[in-house]
Amino acid sequence: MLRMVKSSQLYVRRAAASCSVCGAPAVVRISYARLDLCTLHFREFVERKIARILKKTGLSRARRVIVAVSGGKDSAAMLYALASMLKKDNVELIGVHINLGLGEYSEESMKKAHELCHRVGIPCIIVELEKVLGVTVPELAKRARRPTCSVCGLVKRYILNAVAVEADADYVATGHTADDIIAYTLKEFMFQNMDGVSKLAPSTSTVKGLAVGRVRPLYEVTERESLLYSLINGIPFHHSECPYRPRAPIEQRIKEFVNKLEEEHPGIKITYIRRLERNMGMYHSWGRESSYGRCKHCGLASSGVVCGFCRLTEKVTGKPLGEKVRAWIRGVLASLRAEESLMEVRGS
Amino acid sequence: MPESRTMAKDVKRLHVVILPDNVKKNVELEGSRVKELVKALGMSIEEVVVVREGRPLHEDDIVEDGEELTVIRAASGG
Repeated sequence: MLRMVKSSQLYVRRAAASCSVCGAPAVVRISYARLDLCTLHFREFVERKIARILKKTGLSRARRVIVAVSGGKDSAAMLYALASMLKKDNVELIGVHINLGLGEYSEESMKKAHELCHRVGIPCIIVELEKVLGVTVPELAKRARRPTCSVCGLVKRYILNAVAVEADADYVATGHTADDIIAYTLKEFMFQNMDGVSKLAPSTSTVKGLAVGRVRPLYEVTERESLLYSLINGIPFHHSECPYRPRAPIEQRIKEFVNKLEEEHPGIKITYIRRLERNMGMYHSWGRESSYGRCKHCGLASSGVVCGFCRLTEKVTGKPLGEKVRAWIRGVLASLRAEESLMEVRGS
Repeated sequence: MPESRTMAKDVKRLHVVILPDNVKKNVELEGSRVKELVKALGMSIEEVVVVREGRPLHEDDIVEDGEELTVIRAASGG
């Protein structure tokens, strides 16, 4: 039976905007593209931007890709999209999560990363610093008297690269979004570090046996889009701020400013990102010619005789731990392979 | 007399939870759309997703008096 409703209530129940593509109720307005999109077409919109980067970087032709999974929304959205978009291309994805030892925050992140990898059906290598190195990031930073964020970045970069080299992967995929790229490049520009800008391309190249190239599938996807993508797809992620983050990180301030600018001038972010992509070659030629050497302790890429990771761990623990990390990774990969072949035998 | 009544009717009382900070706020909103709520909170629509009972809302969607909404900030630290 029809219930009498006041006209105001009726208005509430009707969607305020409908999808520009199909007319279904819209969940988001993409101002710069002058589009209102429903969940289905928003998902397509995001995946089209990702597909552009995959095509550009050749990721869909890769054999094996290491996917960095922090447990947060951006890497979660990236992994979910890659797993569904690359299924037909036969690209082997291996998730890597690093437990940095930042208390409850790290424990929750680890749970979500594990849950997500399980959900999309890929193996997940969990590197717990406390177990593998015997020290956590805050301990390393404190004992080396260095800022926590810089130590954290160094450790993450080293471990991701080490896993990728040991696994003979073609790429390491990270969940950096358009907003991250804009904030990092503007910051580098402020410090006139053009070499730093050139490292923030959609992909970087591999130096065989030393360093595996990076790829950033969310290069053109904003943080808001990656959050919405995660929400509408029911992707598990841990939404929380790192307890060690500085009170007012420069990147955060730049993001706030750029978002205000985007609100007033829709399209400024995507224009910046696309032009940045186009000019990367130029920034690259302005940068210092980076010649990699081999770290005398661990054998991975290093600008000096000893790499940053071996120097840091030697200072703190008395021993460079790069090789120890590599050996641990080799062990994990071997057991992963054994497990897989066992599954294949069982399956056949 | 009718004027004061109209004024009271136009103000919507909303219970807002802001994530990931987990800050709870009661907002008296003069206006009726999601984007007006975001503005009243001093935020930019570019940096948040507003959610009602787990479902994301469009910026032009109408908010109802007395309801609870979640505002999720998208921007994460460095």
